[in-house]
Amino acid sequence: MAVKWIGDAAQELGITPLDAVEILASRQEYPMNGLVDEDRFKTLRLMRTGKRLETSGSQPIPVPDRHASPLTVPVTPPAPYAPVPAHHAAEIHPPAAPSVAPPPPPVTVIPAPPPVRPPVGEATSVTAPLQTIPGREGERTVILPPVEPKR
Amino acid sequence: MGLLKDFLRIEADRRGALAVLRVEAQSRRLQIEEIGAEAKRKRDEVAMIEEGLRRLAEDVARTEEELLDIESRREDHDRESHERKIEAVRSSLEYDRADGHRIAEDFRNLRSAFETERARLLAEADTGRMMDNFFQIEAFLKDTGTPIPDAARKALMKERQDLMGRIGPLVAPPPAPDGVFKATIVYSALEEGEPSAVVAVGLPDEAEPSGAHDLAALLFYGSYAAVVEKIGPGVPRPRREEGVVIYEQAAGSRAPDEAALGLFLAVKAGLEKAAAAAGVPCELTGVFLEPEIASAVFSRGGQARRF
Repeated sequence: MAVKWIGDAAQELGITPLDAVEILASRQEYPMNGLVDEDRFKTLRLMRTGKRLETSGSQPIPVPDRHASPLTVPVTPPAPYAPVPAHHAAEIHPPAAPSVAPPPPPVTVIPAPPPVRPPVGEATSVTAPLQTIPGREGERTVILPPVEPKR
Repeated sequence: MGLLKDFLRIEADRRGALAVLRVEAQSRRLQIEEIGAEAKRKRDEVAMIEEGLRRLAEDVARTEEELLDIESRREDHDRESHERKIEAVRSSLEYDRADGHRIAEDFRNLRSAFETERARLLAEADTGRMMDNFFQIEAFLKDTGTPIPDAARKALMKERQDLMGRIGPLVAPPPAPDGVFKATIVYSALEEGEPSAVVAVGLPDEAEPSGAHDLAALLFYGSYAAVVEKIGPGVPRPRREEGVVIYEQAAGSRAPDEAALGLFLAVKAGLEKAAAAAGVPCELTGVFLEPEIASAVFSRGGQARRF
């Protein structure tokens, strides 16, 4: 099994040596002699993408404001439409009175789109939902007895 | 005759009264003289007391001047000791860095020569056979279950010694310098502005790019790995300031002293582990710096080169 100096491995993967050290150390896998075996190199290769974003230093995550508007804005029912005749409207709002601003148009509220989720059952990560195969009797929970050791 | 007698009696009474009054007047004059003498004595005493008071006032003024002078000298001493402490910290870190550089050079030379020799031996044709023989002899000599005659044991050990002389670098552990890596790790809690912990150590500069024979890089990476392992990912990267490696971390919800101690222990453990992995003995000393000394020695956050 080939081993590499961590600096060489990092250079090969396009990250800084400290990035590589941080990746391995955060998984408690950093070799103190600095020599990276193949397993650790694979770990670096898998984790480097996420690490590149942080190579400029740790980014502080702002604390979300509790009073901030939620992702979905409340939908207010639109006002009922009441057509007004043109001459009647002219009597009510003569053009000689420009100081009276017209009422603002009703705000069209569009709810935020739902987050994009992978299809159910797609194994995108280790946290993906487990694929369930229903049996003939349907889904049910079965408690398996403990396996007794052979005597 | 009666009148003359009366006159004589009156004259005698007058003379008697005059004599009494003369005596009384004399007594009063004596009293006046005594009072005058007493007043003179009191005036002299007052003059003496005033002279004493004047001397006391002069003493007070002189003592106050001396006190001011002492205060000024105390401030000078404080300033001088502050500067001397700063200079001592800097010189200690610089000395550690230079001493570490010397050991790192020895380490690099030894390991490079060792690797070169290993490569040369591996390129030879009969190296594999000699290694097989060596390990077989090793296993045979260590096998306590098989009795070996003395003569055979002696011959095997001689053969082992000969093989060791020829392929030694292939079967021996890599060499390490004789020197001891000594360093002083200073740590402190900075409380000006955002409370934070700071740890500094005078490590030699690592090569660019670093290599497997780079003791400085090994120590540096090891210390950072230990910090990440103990404190968690996302800790600020160390920076190099005038050749000194500095770790600085915001204390957050912890007390700055506690955060400084945790950061110091992590750096120390990392350096010790890395030195042990390289086969280099090390002696590390931790010194807590007063916050004002640390503030003067190390600039706050990111003024220097970050890695």
